[in-house]
Amino acid sequence: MTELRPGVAAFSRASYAAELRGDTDEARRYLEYAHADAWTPADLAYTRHYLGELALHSGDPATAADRYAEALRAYPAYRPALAGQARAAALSGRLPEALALYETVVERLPLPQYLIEQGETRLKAGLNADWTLLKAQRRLFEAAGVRDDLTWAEFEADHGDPVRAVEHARAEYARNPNLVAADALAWALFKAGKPAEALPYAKKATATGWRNALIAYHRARIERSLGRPTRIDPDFDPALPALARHS
Amino acid sequence: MRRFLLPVAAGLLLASGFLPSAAQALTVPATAAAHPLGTFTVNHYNGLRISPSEVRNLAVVDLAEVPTLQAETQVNGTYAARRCAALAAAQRLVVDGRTVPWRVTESSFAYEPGEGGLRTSRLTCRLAAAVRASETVAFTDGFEQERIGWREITAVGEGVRLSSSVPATSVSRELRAYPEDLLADPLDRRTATLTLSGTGVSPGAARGGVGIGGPVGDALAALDRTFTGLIGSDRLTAPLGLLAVGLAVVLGAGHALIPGHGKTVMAAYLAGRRGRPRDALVVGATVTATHTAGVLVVGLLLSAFTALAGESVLSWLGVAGGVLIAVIGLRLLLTTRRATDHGHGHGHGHAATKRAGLIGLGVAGGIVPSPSALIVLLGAIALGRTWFGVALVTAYGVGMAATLTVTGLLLVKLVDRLEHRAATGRRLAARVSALAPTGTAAMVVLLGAGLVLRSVTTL
Repeated sequence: MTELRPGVAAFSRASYAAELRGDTDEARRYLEYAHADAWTPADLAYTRHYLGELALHSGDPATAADRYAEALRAYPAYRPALAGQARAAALSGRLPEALALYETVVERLPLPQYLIEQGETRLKAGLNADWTLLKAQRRLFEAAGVRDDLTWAEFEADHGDPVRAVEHARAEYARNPNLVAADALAWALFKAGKPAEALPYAKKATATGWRNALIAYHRARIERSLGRPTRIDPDFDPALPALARHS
Repeated sequence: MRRFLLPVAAGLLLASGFLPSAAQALTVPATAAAHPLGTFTVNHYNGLRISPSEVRNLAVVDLAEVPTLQAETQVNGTYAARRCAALAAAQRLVVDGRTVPWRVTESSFAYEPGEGGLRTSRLTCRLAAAVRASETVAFTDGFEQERIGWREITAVGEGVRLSSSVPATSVSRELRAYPEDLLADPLDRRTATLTLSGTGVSPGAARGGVGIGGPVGDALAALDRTFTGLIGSDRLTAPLGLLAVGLAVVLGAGHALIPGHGKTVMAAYLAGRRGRPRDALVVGATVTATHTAGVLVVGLLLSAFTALAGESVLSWLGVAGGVLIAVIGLRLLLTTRRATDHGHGHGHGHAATKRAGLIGLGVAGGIVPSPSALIVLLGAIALGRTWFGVALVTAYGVGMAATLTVTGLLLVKLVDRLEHRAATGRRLAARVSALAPTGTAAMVVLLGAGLVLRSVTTL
């Protein structure tokens, strides 16, 4: 792929594949190739944004914030990078700044994922989370025939009804049995009080070696509840799961 | 694999909320009135009207379900007035190089039922600026432009002539009906530049072409509106397409009845040259070919070069048509005199001259594109339905040709009658017939010169 048609699209995919294998350096290298190849403002913003995401997931929010800012310089209307800045601020503990940024992000593009991140940041800051807009969007998606079981599985497991979370996660996993869906199903089952059923999916989600703090945390919690010896990363903040999740 | 839900540029669109509407199109027929542009969108329309004493704007902001819900907490009795004041402050109007403030004359806000038990909403602001525009008007809409959505501007002159960077009519009917084939690539027009050229009617207002008044004229005008409306209809089905083609033929035929189009010239020519039915057909076919080609060339030029003003192009073509007719008239005069000098020679060269004259007539009759055919083509290009537009313009030309051919055939018949009477020895008729070639040739020259003059005055 990267030899047949080297370019932003091919390098980005190669980078994601490397990230899922747990090879963060390789993932970064491919993204840098993609960045070197990018020419249009949108492509520049896209590659810089994902360099930021990679840094954020490696536990380096400062570098991530720089990359997001560079992405916005290339293309000021690139909303994912604005959301990235909010995420980096929240994960660095700068909650008022993060909330102000989320306000702007949601004002411009109220995607469910941003709304959930905003709600979690508000909860962390000791405020109430208002899920009205999120739930209205769920109604809209359902009325339009759009299925996004993954988002609702994760949201219900973290902030709502674990039984519904399991339903959504099973539906998602049946359609797309990938790492993300496996993790969502594992976490939903754990929250619904079925850690033994959850473990195989948690193992599946981590089987490729993907170094993602959230899925590692999920697996550790599941294993601990089954009485197995395990280590939970003390640097990981379980109060902001949606911020760690997005990739 | 979430990352690749959002690949590069397409991702911007998907992430921006076009995903729900796209997915909807694939899965269920929309029962509730879901916002066609996606439930995240905030859509803007500005309808500018330039009159000799003021500039007005009808600004509409159409909020889809999600932004409506987001704004809900701010809605109270003064909401519309507050929002319109903010809108007026954010819209920049520069008239003849000077920034002019807007005044809000009317504001209203209404909810409409949307999808999933939610509502959409519509803010309508009427703005005015008491300013006498004499050269240029520049407009920029800077009101809440961060959100994704449709952005449309139209402009018309009322009692002033405009050449404009934006169309005169709204393809979305002021954000009420979004043309379906534009949804994947919504309009994004945030600025308008208008150049004024004296008083008169703007191209937008004059889209029906030369009016002929009366009940027939009114009926034609109504047909014309239906026709130009059809091109922008939401769904282009086969029956609707055929209906549009049929209407195009009828309108073309009707259009050819309006004064102009060299009918008088053709009459004079055929009368003077003792035309045969074949000649009428030649003229008709040439008119169709020239008109269709003319509309296509002018339409493509106009859509390719925004600096080109439609009106002046039409005027120049009018001059060209007039000159052509005058030249044909002069040639007629010359050949008539030669014929009288050397007796009646019906040689081969003579037939060729005659054919050239007939074709010239057809070209002159079809060279000025009819404004409504042009608007249909430009509309079709703007809507991404170029081929449909080309088909309609061709049908329009066929209609025109039919009228002209029938007129020509009737004339030929009439001339034959006259000749017949002359041959049977009626003195008056015989004298008229003998004078005909010179007289008609002179008439053709005069008519051509008249056309040139008429077109020059509008330049």
